[in-house]
Amino acid sequence: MNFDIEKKTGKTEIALIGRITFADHDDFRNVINVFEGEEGHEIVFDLSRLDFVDSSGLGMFIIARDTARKKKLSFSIRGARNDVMRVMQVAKFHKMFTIVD
Amino acid sequence: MSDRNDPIAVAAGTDMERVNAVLSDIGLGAAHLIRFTLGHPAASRTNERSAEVPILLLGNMTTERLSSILYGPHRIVVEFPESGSRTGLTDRLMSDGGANTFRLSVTTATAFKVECAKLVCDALAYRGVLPESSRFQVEIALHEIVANAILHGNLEIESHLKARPEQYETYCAHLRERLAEPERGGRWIDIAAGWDGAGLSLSVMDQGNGFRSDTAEAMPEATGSFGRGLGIVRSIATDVVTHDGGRRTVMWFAHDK
Repeated sequence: MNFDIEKKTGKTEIALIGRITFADHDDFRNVINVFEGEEGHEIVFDLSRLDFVDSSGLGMFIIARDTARKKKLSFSIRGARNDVMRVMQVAKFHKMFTIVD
Repeated sequence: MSDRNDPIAVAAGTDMERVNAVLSDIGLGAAHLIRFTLGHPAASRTNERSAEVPILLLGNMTTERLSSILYGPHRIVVEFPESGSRTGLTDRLMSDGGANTFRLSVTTATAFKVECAKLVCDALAYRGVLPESSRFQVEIALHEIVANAILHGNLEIESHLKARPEQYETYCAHLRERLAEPERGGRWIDIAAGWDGAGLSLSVMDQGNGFRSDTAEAMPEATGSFGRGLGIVRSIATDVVTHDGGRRTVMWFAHDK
């Protein structure tokens, strides 16, 4: 997994790139570590360049959502496509997340 | 079972001194060995000598080295560990399932760093037994079973350790420690594929303590940060059966009619 971070006023966009799997638990800490901001600051995961996610990766999205909640930040996911969208559908993620697009 | 006279190929870059010592331990002589140079897929297909070789021993496992051997003729690819246990190496070299099979045997530390499920699916697609229309389903299902074998089987990590975000650092540290332990990180993961006109079978074996399938079944729709893997597999594979107290999982994918 690679990631790009873009900080804007009121919003941090994080693009996850490539494959996110059980082997990325360590690297994902670096993603969580940029969750900072005023109350209501938006954290957005952009998945449009993500090719593959497994159940561990989905678990990391939950950890990200819960970390954002604890810090009173808003959290959403957008741009999932193809196989990533299919895994999220199998796991019924639309019930647990704000998913845009 | 394979004939004991079957030649065994050894990839360039593998420690030959150790290979010879181990093969002599398990009753095979240097006469069985053929040096095998990793190269372009077309080169290995036209290499008549290597076409006779079903078994390949490979040291220094990396994703690049593994992907280049998938296009070769080998039915059994076994990691030759740089150090650590040789336990079970004989069985791995000797049980050849025949023409319509493919096997990959690697240590847990290697399985963690190379994308085994993707590589095995590449090998199956190359052999014409995994159509593009089934690729995603088979790869994600195999990936989840391999992940379970690594994390919960051989490394004996419990997922509830990451139930709360503040525990995540501890979970990651625990995972790193277990991977670095020679005993757990050196345990084997075996992935075996077999196919016929009706479908494709994939089995994954580990050397952990197994699991109770009744408790694993109890999370059909997980909402937390773990517990989704088997649910994904069950919703995709035609059939999933566990054996040996949870140490071996066999999935069956029927061909589309």
